[in-house]
Amino acid sequence: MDQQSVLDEVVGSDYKYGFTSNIEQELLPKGLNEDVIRFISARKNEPAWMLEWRLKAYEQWKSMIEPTWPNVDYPPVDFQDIIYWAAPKKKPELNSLDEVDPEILATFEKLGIPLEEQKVLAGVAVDVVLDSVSVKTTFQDKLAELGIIFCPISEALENHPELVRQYIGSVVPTNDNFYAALNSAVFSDGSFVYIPKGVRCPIELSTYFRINARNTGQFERTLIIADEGSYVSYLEGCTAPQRDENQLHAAVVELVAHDRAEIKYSTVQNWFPGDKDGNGGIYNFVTKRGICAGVDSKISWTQVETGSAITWKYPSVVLKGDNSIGEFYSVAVTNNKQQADTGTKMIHVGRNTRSRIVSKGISAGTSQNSYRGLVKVLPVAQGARNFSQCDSLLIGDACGAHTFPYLEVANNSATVEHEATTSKIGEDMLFYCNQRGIDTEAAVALIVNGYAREVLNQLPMEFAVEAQKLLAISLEGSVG
Amino acid sequence: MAQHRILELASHALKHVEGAVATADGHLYRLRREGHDALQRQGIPTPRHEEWKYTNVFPFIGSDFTLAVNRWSREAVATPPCASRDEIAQAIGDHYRIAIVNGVVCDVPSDLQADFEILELTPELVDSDEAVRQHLGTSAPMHGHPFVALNTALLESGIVIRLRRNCTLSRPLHISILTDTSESPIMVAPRILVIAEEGAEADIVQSHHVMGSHLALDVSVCECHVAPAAHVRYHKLVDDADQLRSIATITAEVHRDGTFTSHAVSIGGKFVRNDLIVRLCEPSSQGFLYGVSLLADHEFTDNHTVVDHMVPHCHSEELYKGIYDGASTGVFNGKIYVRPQAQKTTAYQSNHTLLLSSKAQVQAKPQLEIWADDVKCSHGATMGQVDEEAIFYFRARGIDKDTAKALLTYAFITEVVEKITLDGLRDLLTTRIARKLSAEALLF
Amino acid sequence: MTPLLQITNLHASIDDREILKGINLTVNAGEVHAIMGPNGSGKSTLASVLAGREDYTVTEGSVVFQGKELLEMAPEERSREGLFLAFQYPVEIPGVSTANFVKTAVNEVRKHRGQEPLDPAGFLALMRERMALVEMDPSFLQRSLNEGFSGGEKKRNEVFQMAMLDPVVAVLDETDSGLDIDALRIVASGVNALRRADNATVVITHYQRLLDHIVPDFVHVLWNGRIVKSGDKSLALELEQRGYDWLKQEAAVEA
Repeated sequence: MDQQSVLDEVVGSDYKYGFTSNIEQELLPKGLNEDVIRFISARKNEPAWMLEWRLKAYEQWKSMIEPTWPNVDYPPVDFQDIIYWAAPKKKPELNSLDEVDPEILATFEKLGIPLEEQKVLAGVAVDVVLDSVSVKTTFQDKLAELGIIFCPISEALENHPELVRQYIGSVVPTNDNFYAALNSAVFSDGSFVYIPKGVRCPIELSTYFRINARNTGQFERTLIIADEGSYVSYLEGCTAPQRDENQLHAAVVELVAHDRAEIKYSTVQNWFPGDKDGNGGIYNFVTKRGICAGVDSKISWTQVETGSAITWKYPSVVLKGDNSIGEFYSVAVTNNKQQADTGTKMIHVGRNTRSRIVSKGISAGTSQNSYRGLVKVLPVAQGARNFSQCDSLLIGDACGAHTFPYLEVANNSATVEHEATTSKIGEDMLFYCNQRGIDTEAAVALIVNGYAREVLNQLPMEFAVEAQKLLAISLEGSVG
Repeated sequence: MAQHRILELASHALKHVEGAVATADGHLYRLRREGHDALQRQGIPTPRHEEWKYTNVFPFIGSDFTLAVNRWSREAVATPPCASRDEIAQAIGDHYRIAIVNGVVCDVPSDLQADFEILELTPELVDSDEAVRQHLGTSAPMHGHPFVALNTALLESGIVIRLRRNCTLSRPLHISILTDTSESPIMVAPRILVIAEEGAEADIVQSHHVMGSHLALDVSVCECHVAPAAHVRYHKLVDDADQLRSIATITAEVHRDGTFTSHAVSIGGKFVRNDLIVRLCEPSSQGFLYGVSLLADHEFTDNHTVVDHMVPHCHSEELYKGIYDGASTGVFNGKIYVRPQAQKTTAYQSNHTLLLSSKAQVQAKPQLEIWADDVKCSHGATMGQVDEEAIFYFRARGIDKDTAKALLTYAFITEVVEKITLDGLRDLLTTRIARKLSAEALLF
Repeated sequence: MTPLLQITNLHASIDDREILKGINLTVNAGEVHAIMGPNGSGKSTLASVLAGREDYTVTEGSVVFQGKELLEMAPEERSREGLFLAFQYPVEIPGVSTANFVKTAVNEVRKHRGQEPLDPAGFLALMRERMALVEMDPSFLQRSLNEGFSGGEKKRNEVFQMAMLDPVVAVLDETDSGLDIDALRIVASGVNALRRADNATVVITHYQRLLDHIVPDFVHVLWNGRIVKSGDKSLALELEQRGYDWLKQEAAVEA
């Protein structure tokens, strides 16, 4: 087989996990109006102010228009053709892993996910050893001792309404953008984290989350507050393939870091990307923003994006506190007909604020991968520093890589540096690997992981290993 | 509203011509109507337009312009004295000259070398000369470029510069665009078409000046056709007169083994917008794009560049540097576009900025749009101030801080000017830079 | 005794231009062969065709490697079967450490031979030992493969990889080009240390100088796609003194 056709196969791997059968659900009719929002709010027993907040967002949304500036192309979304409330009933559970699609099991195996966890992910009835409720309880007890609040946002609204009220919408206002407004009006659920003063969260909020974050719905809302001197590392998503009935996902994530607090937010996104011809697939329109509100605070975003048909996502940091630090590390892989327009915004407000951007785009197939980033230094941001590195790697000759960095500097003490390169996986590289006994598929994985190393290193250890395998899998084919 | 006035002027100018020439069906008229329609459709761009995001023209242009209609003067017209023009003329030494005064092309030299022509762009010429027809309006796009559309709508006359096969221009050509606004605000829309045939080589200097106390809105378009193995070096300079509003588009289509080199120099300038589009449309063609913006007070320069790699094996290099003092603003938007078939492209871009004052601003958007895989492309952008460490080094050697700063700033910017191969022009610009930086003492 | 490598009437072309025009060569265990010739004679093409570079089309002939038809194998299979090519221009792979790369390669070969992967500690010890052969500093293990390496460091890295993969037949393509005398000595002594009775080396070079350090049993002169003369190491010395022109004339007369 010649190199080109091997490459074609390598990048031509299908997402083998289509949609599953319908789950029995309690449904509202399609469409969005005030009554729908009232219904959602009522079902969640929300306080009156929350309903008002949602309704205000809905009013704002109605007068907004869908953004068209991202470098992506998709048929228009009919917002009246979406079901905004579907309470998941008990999932039809399988009795053992034997009933699970062997392809999925093979992927779990490749990713190295522990057996018990595999069962939960695949929807197999779990035994007493790893009952999610007991796991949850164990963690909750431990966290509660430290005063950490970690629960669904709907629960937080019941138990800690004052905290939610203080912070929700404080980083991403309801009218921030079209999808943020929509999310504010109809968000289903999500996570709430509060780390009290001086507390260092002792665990990665990960394993627990991976198991429990399922079925949070298409309009997820996350709010994380790190009080003075605290630290938390939060993991979102899952390397395992994610199936979902909903095509449109519009999540909002807000992070608040007070004085000397640090939030590390890591994402692995592997939603269904659509088939080879671009049919189906998730639209992932996410607003993620953190504010370094206090002095010496730090927010770090790390993302590994391999899924979704359309991705539109710019995890950002507002560097308000003096000496605060914002970081963005990203690997975005697009294959087949996937389109991604992703990047970050670093807004320097405080003195001596620093930001660092490392973006690694990988395009294969006929996909389009765009980096879009803004570095803005306001006149008051004395001594701001930014360094950005945006690299693109191309696999095959039918894909595209684009970089749109916006640099706006209004303070002469700032130093802003931006570098970008575009290169390909050369035939020379592949042949060299072949000559050392490494086949083309393994060579592509090796090269891609080397290329993305700087970002993968930012992930918590166990996640990094999985993410590395995920990159290989998402570019893998049945090389014969 | 300024927008309406300009659109009105364009409409009026077109009607005037078509009224006079009832059966106006030539190529030029069609082109003008297209320009008019494109302008009416797009309007004058606001910052909502992505390519005008950082450049709001409205505060800079008034609304009461008089349109100076383009035409040629056969008689010898004494061009008004203009110190900044004369300074350039003197610097470049022996040269061919042509002046456009308030739209009137005059001072056309008669002693041209045999393989070099300067022609009046007329409807008849466009209809009768295939090369002119082919190249006029082809490389300067009207869609997405409302000011190109405006210029085209007003294209009553213009200049065609033709360099015949293997012509090497023995002297540089200096085109000065002078606008006399001593009586009222004036809008001019000069149009130039350069046809460099196979193997031709030329240096062209295009400078923009204003005389008088009212505003001059100078919306110019120059299209260059660079045939195989032809080499064109184009220099665009602006006066630092406060009254000048220069919106200039320069485009080039470069063919096999040809090169197009551009130098866009703004040493001062209240409002300068340069759109430079270089299309590398045959293999082994090359584009070199250099720019200098040295601004103070409330000066403003926006450099928008596009390098379009259309075919394999082409090379482009781009270096833009800016120094912004006072409350000045510099904008740089550089796009490298590599089309799917343009394999083996090498394209490098860098943009560096020094901010000298706390009120100065810079906005940059260096874009790469890559659709081919076997390419080497990179861009780099930096923004900062003079290296404190370097200043300290100078001081440790007995050189005071201000001198050290001036010297480093001067060195930073002259790196780009050094690329200019016209010695006299380079020396003039170096001197003007030193003068602007109050660093004349540094000149040896 | 079955030869390790048997090349018979090998023809190969690139873009319809014939470069190899009937190569015949037999390499037995324990032998060192030198292939010399002026630039453009087809030396590097021969190395590339043996390693399986797909830019070249084999139009005629056969290559039997330890009893198997080499030309039917993919490049990585040839490597796993024990054919090693030291590249004239080793490729830089950013982000992939030398250690990681070599580990991947060695484990692929071990898997092919039905052996278990080496444990990390044993592997590291082995790498350090083999690096010492070519006087390479262990710090290179953590650096990206060949990235920013000098010419000499790249060539030493090739021989280090050769030592790790323990090939049956190693083809060294202009491994001496661009090396100063110290680097040349180091590279050559590394290659010599790997010589055994059950393996063989094919050294492709333009210069006789290398052969002072790696002493060949046979010297072949390649010109215009054919081996026009073979002899022992004295042939190399003769070439050094007389150049290639006399051979070209001889070949032209024969043809």
